[in-house]
Amino acid sequence: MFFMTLNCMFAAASVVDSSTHVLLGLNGGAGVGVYRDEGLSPLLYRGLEIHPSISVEVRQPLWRYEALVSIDGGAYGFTLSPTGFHAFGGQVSVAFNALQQVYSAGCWRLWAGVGIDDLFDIRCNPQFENASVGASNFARLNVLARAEVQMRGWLAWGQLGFTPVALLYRPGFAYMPNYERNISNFVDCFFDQYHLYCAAATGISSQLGVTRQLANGNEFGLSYRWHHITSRSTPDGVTAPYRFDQSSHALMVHFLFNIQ
Amino acid sequence: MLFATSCEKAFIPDSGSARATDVFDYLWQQIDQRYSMFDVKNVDWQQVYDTLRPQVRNGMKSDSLFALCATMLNTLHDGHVNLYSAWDVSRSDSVYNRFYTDDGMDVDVLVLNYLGGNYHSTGGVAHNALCDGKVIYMRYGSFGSGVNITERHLRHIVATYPDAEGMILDIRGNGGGLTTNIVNLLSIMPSHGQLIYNSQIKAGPDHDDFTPLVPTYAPNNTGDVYNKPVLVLTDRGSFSAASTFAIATFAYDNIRLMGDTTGGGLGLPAEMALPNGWICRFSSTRTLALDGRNYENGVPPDILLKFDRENAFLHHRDNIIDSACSIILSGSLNNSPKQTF
Repeated sequence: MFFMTLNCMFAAASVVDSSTHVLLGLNGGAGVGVYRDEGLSPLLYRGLEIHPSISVEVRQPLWRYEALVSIDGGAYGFTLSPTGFHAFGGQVSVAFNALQQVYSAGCWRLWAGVGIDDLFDIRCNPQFENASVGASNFARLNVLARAEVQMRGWLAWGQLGFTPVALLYRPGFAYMPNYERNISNFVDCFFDQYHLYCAAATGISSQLGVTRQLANGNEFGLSYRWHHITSRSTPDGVTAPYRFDQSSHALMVHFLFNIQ
Repeated sequence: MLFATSCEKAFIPDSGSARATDVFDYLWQQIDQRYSMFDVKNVDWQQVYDTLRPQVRNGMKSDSLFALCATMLNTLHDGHVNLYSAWDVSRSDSVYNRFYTDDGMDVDVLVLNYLGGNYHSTGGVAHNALCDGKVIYMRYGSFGSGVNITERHLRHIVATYPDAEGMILDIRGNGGGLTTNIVNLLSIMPSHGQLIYNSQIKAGPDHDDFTPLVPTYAPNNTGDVYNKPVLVLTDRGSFSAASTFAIATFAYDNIRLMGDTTGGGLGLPAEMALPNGWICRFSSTRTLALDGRNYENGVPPDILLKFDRENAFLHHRDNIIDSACSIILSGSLNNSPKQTF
């Protein structure tokens, strides 16, 4: 579905007008993440994360579209332990955003838009015997706002995102897969204890960056990114899954190649 | 935006502090909700809380809090329940004392006079032949991950002793390990896909909140079936996966349990952290035999025979192995009673 959408974006860009630019982005970063999954542990885990991603942007004078695939990984220790990594986690997300320029004055531009993304998160604490893995899926609708200042080949920008509603898939009371070592039963019962539910206000993100624009249309830049996601569920594990919260700070490097 | 970038504490709720009262309350509540064996442990968990909680004071020394928490957990008399701190590990006194006071074998006698110096080792099983090659003796000391037994191993062992009329599988003192080795160890036994046991997982906070039964079936036979008599030797040291293996043998007509009641421990252990970083291990599932019973407190043998320690000391003989050999060679195993359902 991701590549079908990319094809549509390329096709649309090629027939619209000559002011349409398509950029392929290779992005990477590292930073610090903090999370708690109350179904696994009451402790707050903090650790190092890496954030590689690939993106395709279609830019038109008044519209911009973006498809982004990210794979994040991290190693964490819990905050009461002085040393060592006790947990590992990762996220895979696929996002599609569309923004429209809503205001322009001089070198300032403001954009507003929406995005949808699916984020799969998995956490493992190998320190714990058996009950040590929790996976979650967030299918999110996001509201986006972006501000840009264009200054002679440089672009300073900031973007805010908010998730008003999301569809979540979270493990239930027992984190069941961890207990079942018979593979056929594992497959049969993997999702038995999972909850599918809607939640409001499950995430917020912010990003501040500066980009250098080259004469050939390529760009490179730096940005600081912070996001927070939460499952916002009541922590009894039965009527709703145990709560999951994760925040991530990252310093990102962006390389965008003008491919059209 | 700068405000938003450093405010995860405003978004991630505080889960509680590491004060002694919070730690004790959290431990009691988590066990109350997640422990799977209240139905067979005959313990009033609320009364345990009411008795011990008044002794908890914020600011008390960590080792004092540890001792109180350990006292609380030890009321469960479960070998799968432990509390770990940076300097100590708690365990159930009754379970471990029972293992040492009711021990069912003498390892020196077993190694010197039964396995011998020329024993073989295959897939974690030490084996040799007894009674002029007519009885295979297999010593399986652990179901642990470093000694995965396979069907290929078992076929090799059987082929090594072509004149054997039966098999002794000695799992006395076997503290358990991987449940996958249970079906591995049964891989050459007669199978028609029969149920060998059911498992249930805690599905909610009430003591009787469990998932539907999750069945485990006998492994399919992929080659020759071993349908000769098999005596599985057990004692109070046969714990966890060894006890689960014992109930799995209920489904096989050619297998009997002999020796003493096992140590139990049929719940799969899981671990959790406490707000102060301690780790608690607890039984998170329950395993039900073919009769629907929970043998958490021990699996009784088909043939009850206590280990004669005096005989072992004086004559360097293991009365249980000797009796098992006699039963196999007499051909009377099929006439001996087996737990029926």
